[in-house]
Amino acid sequence: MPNYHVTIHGADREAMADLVRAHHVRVYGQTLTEEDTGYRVSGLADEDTIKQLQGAGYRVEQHEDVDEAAQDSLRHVGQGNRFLNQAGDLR
Amino acid sequence: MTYLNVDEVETAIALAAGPPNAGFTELITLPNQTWEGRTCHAIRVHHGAAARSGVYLLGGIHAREWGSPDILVNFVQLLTDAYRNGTGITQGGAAVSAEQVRAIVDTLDVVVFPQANPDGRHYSMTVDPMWRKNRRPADAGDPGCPSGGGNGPGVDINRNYDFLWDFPTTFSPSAPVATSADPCSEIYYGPGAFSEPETCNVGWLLDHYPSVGYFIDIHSFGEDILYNWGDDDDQVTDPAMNFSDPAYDGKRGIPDSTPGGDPDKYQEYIPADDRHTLITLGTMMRDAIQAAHGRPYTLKQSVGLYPTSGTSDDYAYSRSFLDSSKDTVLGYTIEWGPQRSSIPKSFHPDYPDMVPIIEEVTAGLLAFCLAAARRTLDAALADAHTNG
Repeated sequence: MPNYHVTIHGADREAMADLVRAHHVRVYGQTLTEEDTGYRVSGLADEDTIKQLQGAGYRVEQHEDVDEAAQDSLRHVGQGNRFLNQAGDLR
Repeated sequence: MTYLNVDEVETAIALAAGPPNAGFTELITLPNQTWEGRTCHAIRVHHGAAARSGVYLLGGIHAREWGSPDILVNFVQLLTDAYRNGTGITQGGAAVSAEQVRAIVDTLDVVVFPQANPDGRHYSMTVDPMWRKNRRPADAGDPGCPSGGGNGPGVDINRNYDFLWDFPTTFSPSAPVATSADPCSEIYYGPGAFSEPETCNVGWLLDHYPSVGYFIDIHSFGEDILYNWGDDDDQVTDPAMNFSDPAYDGKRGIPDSTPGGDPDKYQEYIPADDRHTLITLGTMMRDAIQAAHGRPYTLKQSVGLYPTSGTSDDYAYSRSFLDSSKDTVLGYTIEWGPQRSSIPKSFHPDYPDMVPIIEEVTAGLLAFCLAAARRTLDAALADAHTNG
């Protein structure tokens, strides 16, 4: 089942604490932000968890499929070993 | 340019400790092989008589935070090149002079362990870029874990240290602790404190380099500099109220800002001098980061709505409370880089976006080391004055 980047909006800090205590959602605590109508935090959730949270009164914004999006990053990983020529000095 | 892969990080560190720098570096082989049989290395940079103090820089604990080893390799390469050539270092708008580089290397043990979780990094860089943990295989009888999104067996090394590790006992049942006993969770704390070879390697360096007085663990993301403690609010007045007293088990992890407040009124003791030093040196690091490319990092206590257990910075700091023969090690965590619209790219930005982050964090670490060196030199002068 795909895992999505989600933004979860809750009414108060109690609701945001319950994301971890009661719903066991993986949230990124450093993104916890107060907004006009409560709080929001970023996290990861699959479709079942999103439905569970919505049923519990949270507003959930569903963003990218993180596994699909993350594959793009692999093109930024070095191939081979750029230091091998210099490493000859170590022998 | 691209992120350094696992082999490249190891080669870069070996080169930095190679013949041109042999007079002021030591290549350290860590004693515990990883689950996949890799041997890790660290480097110590110091010249002259035994150092009175040291800074320990750690990176690569969380596999998907690809930039942390790159930051520390850049730091080591610049520091060793500058010391050998008698030059200063410039990173964006931040700079240290040749004299300041000399002060760092001649005064401190700078211990750098850039890639503490090579198995996880390799897996993240080749299979699952969202992978966070080490590669401990599933134990017999463990539930099958769903795949993707960083799920699967393995241990979150930064929940595996021996600091309030047993969170179901040591924390309040009402605490929203950012730690899990579920082996499939990406914040799984492991079968026991220090159960993992990677965690043991981090601790081994603290044991074997007692000069270390400052510890900085490099992570992403959030543009934060966090200092002790991460389990509950700091307090400076009651030394008896602390993590080591089981009388407070079941009461920790409810910061006062939690709705309704903390019914047990537990807060974690930190000596006022330590807190002052943490904030003073952290401020210098923050200001140097901002001088590099203008990014405003936030300096704050580690604890938030979601407290933590078993983390590296709190373990490093806790050691001297439990064993008075050990010197104090002040602990920090840097969370580099901003949140981006994509979560994967928050953890590992496209490499061109990583370059200024490498520079700004390097600038912050250099400023921190310089401040630590000055503090050490001032203490030595005071001692000399006292002793006549």
